[in-house]
Amino acid sequence: MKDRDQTHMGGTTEAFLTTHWSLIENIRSTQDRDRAMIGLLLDKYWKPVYCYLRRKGYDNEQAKDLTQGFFHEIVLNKNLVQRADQAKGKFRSFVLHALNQYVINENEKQSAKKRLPQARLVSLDAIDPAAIPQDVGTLDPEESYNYAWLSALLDEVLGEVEASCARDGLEVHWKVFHEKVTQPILGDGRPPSLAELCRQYGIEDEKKASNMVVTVRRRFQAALKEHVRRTVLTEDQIGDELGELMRFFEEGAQHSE
Amino acid sequence: MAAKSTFGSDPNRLRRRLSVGLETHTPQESSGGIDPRDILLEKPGARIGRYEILEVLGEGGTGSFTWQSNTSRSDDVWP
Repeated sequence: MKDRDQTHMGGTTEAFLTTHWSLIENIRSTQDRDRAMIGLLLDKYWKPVYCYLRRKGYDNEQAKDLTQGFFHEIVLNKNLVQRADQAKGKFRSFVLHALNQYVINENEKQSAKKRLPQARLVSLDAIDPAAIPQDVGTLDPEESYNYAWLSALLDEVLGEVEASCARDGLEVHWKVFHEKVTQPILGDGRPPSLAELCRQYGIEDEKKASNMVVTVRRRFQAALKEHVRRTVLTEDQIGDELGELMRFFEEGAQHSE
Repeated sequence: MAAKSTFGSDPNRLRRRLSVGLETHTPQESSGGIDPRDILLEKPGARIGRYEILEVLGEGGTGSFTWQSNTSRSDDVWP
């Protein structure tokens, strides 16, 4: 499982990671249920699951335990994936649906902790947000799940784009794109003008700086599409999933900046 | 210069970052002129070529912006 190949973006990714559906299948088919692979799944999805559970009213420790228990269930319960409506094909929807079912079942049994394995699959020590961000705290459980899902997706994709730029000697391209486009979205300051960026990085002219932004933005778009592709079953679901992600917060105008 | 994590940001900001990654409004690399992204990112009071942005009037469903502007110079040519 250590094989790595080059994506068309130039980033490295585990060879088995064709889709996240196949990630689960690979975990299940591994005889010793490789903890590293389970950790990989948990690492990718703990935040949406944890946020959902917190917004369901569980406290930090309860949410952490249930997050562990859920991933244990999703990995080891063969029927869970088989019962999933893969016709819908969205891994995000599958995890949310499975999580809903898991919470209902656990509530019915009122024995969430008893069902946890004696030895935890992986440590959650590194991911111990005793408090969830204020903005997440204003969302309902499903919104918070989607919020955390989208946040993790964007962070991973942008991290990959930055790495690919560094590898290809396009560090200045990344800086120009980041300072002009992505950074101002999260900050309060005004984005620098292209002229300012030209002066700062010794770029020939604004046209060239503008093209640098376009180049990195295209990388961002391609990487985003590729990452979403791994969570759906068919190519034509990529646009559908991206559109759905965009619509998550359209009604969230009340979340004023 | 790593991108700051979006986790904890306002949901609308998350959506705006996502919109940058959508292919619907990718400008072409240009051989001249003004980059449309500058229009998306500038704020009232900013100048784009001969135009000065007075007010952002609204945002379209796909992330496009409408703005009101005036011209302050007559010798610049809009691309």
